[in-house]
Amino acid sequence: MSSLEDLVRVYDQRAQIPFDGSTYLDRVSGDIEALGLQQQDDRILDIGCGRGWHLRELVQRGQRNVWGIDASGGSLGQAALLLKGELGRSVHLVHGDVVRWGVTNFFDVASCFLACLGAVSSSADRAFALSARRMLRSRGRFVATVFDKDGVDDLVGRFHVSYAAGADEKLTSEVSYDADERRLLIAQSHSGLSAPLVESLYLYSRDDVERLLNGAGFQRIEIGALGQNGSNGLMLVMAFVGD
Amino acid sequence: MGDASLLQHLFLEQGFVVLPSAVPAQIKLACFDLAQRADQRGGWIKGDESDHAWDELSLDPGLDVSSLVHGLDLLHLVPVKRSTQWINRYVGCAFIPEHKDAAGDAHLLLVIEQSEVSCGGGQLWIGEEARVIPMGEGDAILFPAAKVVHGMTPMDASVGAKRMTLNARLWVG
Repeated sequence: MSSLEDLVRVYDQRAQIPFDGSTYLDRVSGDIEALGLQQQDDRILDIGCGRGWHLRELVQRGQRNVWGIDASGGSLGQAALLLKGELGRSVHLVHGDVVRWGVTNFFDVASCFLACLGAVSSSADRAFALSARRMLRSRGRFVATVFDKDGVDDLVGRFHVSYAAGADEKLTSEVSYDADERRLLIAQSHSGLSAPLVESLYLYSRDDVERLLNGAGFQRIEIGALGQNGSNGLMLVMAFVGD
Repeated sequence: MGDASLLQHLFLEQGFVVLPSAVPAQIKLACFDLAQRADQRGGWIKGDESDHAWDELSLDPGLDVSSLVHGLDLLHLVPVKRSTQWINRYVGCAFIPEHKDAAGDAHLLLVIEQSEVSCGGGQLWIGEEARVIPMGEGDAILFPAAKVVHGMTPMDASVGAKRMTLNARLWVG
């Protein structure tokens, strides 16, 4: 079991690896399509916005009121650089834990891509879901991609991800699954890291996610596969606030 | 980029820094205590229905600036030379029209109380009225109030909304 501070340390370290986004943009574009945006003035919050690639895509698509929050100062610093020139205009960054931000009834859409459900504790996940619900106004929606327990076969293995176009070295991820503990174990290595990054997530099933979001007060919940090519180990979650 | 330099960067590039859950419990209690004493003994500059539709309580001396924000070395972020502080209290249909402050290098605004039934009213905006800053009770913001136009959206009287803020105008030394 990790604490939020442990998790932040992992993301702070990962943010030190040079990353130009070129290997990532298709997925970002697909994620943003999943938001189903219609109004350019919608108030959008990206929870755990990381280096800001989703925020940039939103701005490039003409969204005018975009917010990102992340507890990792290292990641948010990268986002601030990526979004230079747009900061304070159409996009705004907040450093901190979303659970501790007191906003109520404000956003039309809250997103969270590769949500860290299961990384800290079940009570932390409940607090997270309640926060997402609290921040949304009536008819708002929460959209997330979440690791899927029933797609674990797609997640386990050894993967090499290029962090920059033409870069010789790739980020290597060793992903395994502890079925007894129901935990996904991720170890990542790269020469830009002083030590391997280790993360562990309790894997949620679709029923678990539905229960979590129902408990937070969402009125309607839809869970499906992400994209047209099956699960890829991720589920796409949409949760709606009533009138 | 370290956390302090990140916040400095956001302040300069973005024009403000939102500080979630940054109001220390003792500051909140001190504000409620000061407000209650002013209710009993007088001290509020009462709002009217014209250009100053909220109650204001000047704090002299102000609270220790270094204690105003939790989890952040404020004086490292903004090397404060002096400050003036006051509490604002809003009810009814109060709003603050578009303005720039007359002085100060930065303005620290702490949301001491914000009823959840405000239905979106009573929110700070910066730069243009459409740019409402999402903040709730316990959050704070640092912004250059003498340089950018700002204001507050109208409170919603129909739901009995109320809001109290602690304000510190900061001069950098």
